[in-house]
Amino acid sequence: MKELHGLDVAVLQPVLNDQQHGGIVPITVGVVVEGGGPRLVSLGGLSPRISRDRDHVDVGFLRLPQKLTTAIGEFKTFLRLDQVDLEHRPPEQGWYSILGFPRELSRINADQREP
Amino acid sequence: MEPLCQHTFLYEEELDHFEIGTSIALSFAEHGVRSESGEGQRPVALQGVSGCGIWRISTEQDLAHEDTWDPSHIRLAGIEHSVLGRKAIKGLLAFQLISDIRRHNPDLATTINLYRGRSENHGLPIFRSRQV
Repeated sequence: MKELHGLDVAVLQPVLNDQQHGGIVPITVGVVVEGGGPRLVSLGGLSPRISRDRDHVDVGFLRLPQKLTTAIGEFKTFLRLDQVDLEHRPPEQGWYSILGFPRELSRINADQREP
Repeated sequence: MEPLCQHTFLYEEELDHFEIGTSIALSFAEHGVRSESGEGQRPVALQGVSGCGIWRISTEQDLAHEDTWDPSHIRLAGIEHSVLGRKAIKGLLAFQLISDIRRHNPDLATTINLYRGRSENHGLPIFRSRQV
């Protein structure tokens, strides 16, 4: 098992252009290993479920095949359901954090992409 | 590729297209954002950070009992989908995302319902009902 950086999170980079890609969405996951930069792992052509209502909902998800789950699990720790707020109610007051990769701070090096 | 981690709080002014029970909005104004080290920080111009995790680090009750807080209290509260200038960011509540996943994956419903039942019926420390 390789060690992970503290801020290591999965980065999904869907290309949501159905006309260009015929509904098949190329997606990569950025895995960051100790002592190295992000390495992009292709998930291949998977068809995500996309819920899009520009006012309220804009999210997609896909179910990973077991083979990919195992491969990514070598680098990543998947979130467990008990780490998700599952209550249907307005969010509680308190401190919140956003954790992500803003486009402003991100540049993709195609050389790091897996063949 | 540089990660961004900033701490803030719920945005409570009125927002267009904010639906209670579906949306979550966080303040992204200068006075409210904290860096990873806890210092005040001018928010960066994100230019899009769609899909980033919105994490609840602590509730007000946690803050009143800091000695009992530990990282196990952290929960994924939502997934961001909109940056509203330097005012707020908006996302979809995690509850709704999980509901969508359950609807499209019936074989996962039993597991999801089990965890949902735990949070609603057995009062895990982080899950507390709030009067709306």
